[in-house]
Amino acid sequence: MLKEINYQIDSLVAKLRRRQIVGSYNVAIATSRLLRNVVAASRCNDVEQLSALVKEVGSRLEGAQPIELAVGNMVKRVLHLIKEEHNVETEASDAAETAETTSESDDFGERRRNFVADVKQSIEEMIDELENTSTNISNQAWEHIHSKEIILTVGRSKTVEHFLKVAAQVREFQVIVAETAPSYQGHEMALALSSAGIDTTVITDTAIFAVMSRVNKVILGAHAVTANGGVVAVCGSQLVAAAAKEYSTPIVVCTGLHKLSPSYPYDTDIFNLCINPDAVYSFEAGDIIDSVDIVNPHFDYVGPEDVSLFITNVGTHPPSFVQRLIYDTYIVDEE
Amino acid sequence: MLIICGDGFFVMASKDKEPIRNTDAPPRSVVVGFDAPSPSRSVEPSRRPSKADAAGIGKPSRTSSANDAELSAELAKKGGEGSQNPAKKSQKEMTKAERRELQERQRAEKKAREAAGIPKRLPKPKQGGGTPGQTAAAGFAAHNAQNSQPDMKQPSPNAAVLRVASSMRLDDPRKRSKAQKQQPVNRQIARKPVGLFSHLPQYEKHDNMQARLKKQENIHPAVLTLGLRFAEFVIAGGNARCMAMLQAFKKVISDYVTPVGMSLPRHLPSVISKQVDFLSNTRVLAASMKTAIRELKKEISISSPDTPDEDAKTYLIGKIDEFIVERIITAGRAIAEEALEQKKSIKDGDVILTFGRSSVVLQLLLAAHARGINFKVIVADGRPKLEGKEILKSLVHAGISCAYVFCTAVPLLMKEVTKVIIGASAVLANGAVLSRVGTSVVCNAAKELQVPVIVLCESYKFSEEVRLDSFTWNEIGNPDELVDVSNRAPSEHAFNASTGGFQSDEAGVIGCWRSVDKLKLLNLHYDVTPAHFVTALICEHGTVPSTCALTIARLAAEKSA
Repeated sequence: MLKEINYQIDSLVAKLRRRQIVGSYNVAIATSRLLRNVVAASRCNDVEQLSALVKEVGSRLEGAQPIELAVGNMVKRVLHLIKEEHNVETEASDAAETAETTSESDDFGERRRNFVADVKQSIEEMIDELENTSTNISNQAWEHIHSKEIILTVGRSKTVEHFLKVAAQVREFQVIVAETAPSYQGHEMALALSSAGIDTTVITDTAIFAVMSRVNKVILGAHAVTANGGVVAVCGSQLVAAAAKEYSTPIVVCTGLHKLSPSYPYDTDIFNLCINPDAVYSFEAGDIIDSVDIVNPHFDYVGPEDVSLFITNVGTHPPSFVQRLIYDTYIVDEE
Repeated sequence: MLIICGDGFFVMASKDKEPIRNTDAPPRSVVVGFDAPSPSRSVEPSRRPSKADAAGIGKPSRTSSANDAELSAELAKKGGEGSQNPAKKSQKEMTKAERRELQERQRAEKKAREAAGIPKRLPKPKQGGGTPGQTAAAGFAAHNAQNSQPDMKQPSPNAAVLRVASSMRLDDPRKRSKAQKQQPVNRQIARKPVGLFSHLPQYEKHDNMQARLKKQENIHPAVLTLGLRFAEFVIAGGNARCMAMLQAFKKVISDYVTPVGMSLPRHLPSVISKQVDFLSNTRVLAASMKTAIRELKKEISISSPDTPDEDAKTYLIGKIDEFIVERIITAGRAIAEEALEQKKSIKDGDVILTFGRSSVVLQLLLAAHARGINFKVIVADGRPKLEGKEILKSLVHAGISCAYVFCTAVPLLMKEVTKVIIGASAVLANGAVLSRVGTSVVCNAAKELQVPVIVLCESYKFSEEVRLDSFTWNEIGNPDELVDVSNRAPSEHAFNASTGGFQSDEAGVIGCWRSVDKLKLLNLHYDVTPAHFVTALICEHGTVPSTCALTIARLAAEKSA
């Protein structure tokens, strides 16, 4: 492998490990750009070799930050693309072979080079798709929001923010944002939405249940979506989901396809990350800190039974359909 | 226009005894007034029937129809103010319509007078200036503009029959101003109120509550101090507030002197009521305080008017002490006993989750620890009050092993929890628990995983009221508390508030919320936890299912009777 590529890989690994790149979208973009470079710079002409190379780079990236499931998702997408290109290639060559029984080795080499270029091309397309994810999701917004609706959301999801802003161009509705302590992403979200002219009310996380009886719809963002249709989302989502269940309020999850992960939640805690508890109980508070366990989880797992609808960049799906989406997007059974 | 025609027709049909009046000019003139475009319909004090109006009725009412036409034209010019009234009163009989018409005319006359610069008899609303009342009025206008519902502007036909406490009718601008006038403290209405809660009082926080008192002489200094402490949350929690209030009332009673010509059982309740009014203005009264006040007033009223003042006062003070000891302190101990009996609620190895700060829960946990039971406590907490930090300090100090989380992390930890034990501000007749906001969230998470929820509540907090949700009644706190992200414990907060507040340095991203037009902050204080979340209620009379709350409420009422 080229030295420069190696350097790029190391740099991304370090950034992931230090959590300098966070958020599914950022991670997915960074990973796919890196993989494009890896593929473009690779000297292998063989599908096996290329797959092995991508897998090797992928495992290094995944190991750096296992909680960022988007890394694995993108690696698997690329492997899928390689396989697809290979299939197209073999079909074409088969057709060529049947047409012309005489094939030359030169021609063969050319095709192999084209193969790498084709893979690179399809990765480029994938990156394009990634960049348009938010827009594609938001374009469906007006179909799902009626006027005078009260919508509750937690945390700050760029996708949800964009979704609501686009919906606000067509409909008049009210948004209640749970502040999502101690990260206060809800504050940022509320500021962003209200600046865009949406009637926004910030509530404390404790008031989620109290206001839920008036909420028409819950819209959540996601960190990742598991293969069974469960959602790994910002901490507090589970509370919202439980309250929504109590009042039979539908939960809509806005997510790009890059967040769909083929892994299953055998243990939901593995999708969680306990971060710095200083925000919960200041380290300056003195002796009490030593004798108390302070927990500050970063994510929550919401089961597929609580989710009513997924809005992705390719359309709207019930949670049961996520499995099918994953099957279409990734190579699930590897041989 | 069409409605008016119908009106005329209806009147004709129903009151054909007086056909001449129907064809009279005055009603027609009113119709002319209606015809004018009347987009701006201002709710001004002059609209309200005043003494001047009432006096005016006695004046000669038969004016020439020419004069009428002139006046109606003037009415039209003025924008047909008040023109909707007769439209609504369409079913009223003719004489009434006539009276109404007369009123309109007098108003028009008054307006003409005002326009001519003749001093008016009506007190006009003050304009401009900077006194708090006027800014409040400005806040009002904003409030009204935001929550104006067309049907709210006019009282419904049976409004006279329907008696609603004006404190619960704040979505009606007129009731609101009435309530505003009645309350002893001048509080500024929130400039950015939350629409869903517009029926509840939403105030701006004041630095100096005392300066806003309208009449200080009625309020006892002890109550004054107490009110300020309530407002600053120096004293918070149902039991603490109730006890502090009763202690203050003891001082009020001991300083009380019956005026000449009055008897103590007749006069003292009104004095107490004034103190209560003031306290309810600083913060909404807790159910515990309401019960205590009711009991106190009952004791006062049943004392004989012939008893010498000193004896009556000693008796009342004794009764107050008795209430504190029996209903609060002993009850708390009895609850801890009841809960620990045969290690019912806390066993070795238990992981107890509690939310916020409850004096009874603290008492129980400390008692359990004292008995040598080995258990762990998870204190869940909710912004912005973070009262859990106070209970956490007490528990850690006692040597109980603790964990501390925000309520968003509760579902994650619920797997390890064996019991949820919470306190209550009140238990309602339908078994719902009114408690610090966040309790419902925690109980909901517990229910998801089938973890038992035990509510500890003294019987004097059981209420016969019923509420289905947290909207119909609640207390709206200072929205600026949400802005502060320093997450200090309340005790540290109180200290800081006195030194100059937090807004400058600790403000989070929404520190600028007042300047963002569409952004509102909601700081609820209470929520209602539905009865089906609660596994057991423990009060000093024993353990009952939550559906038996009303039985306990009745039992407590009977016992005190």
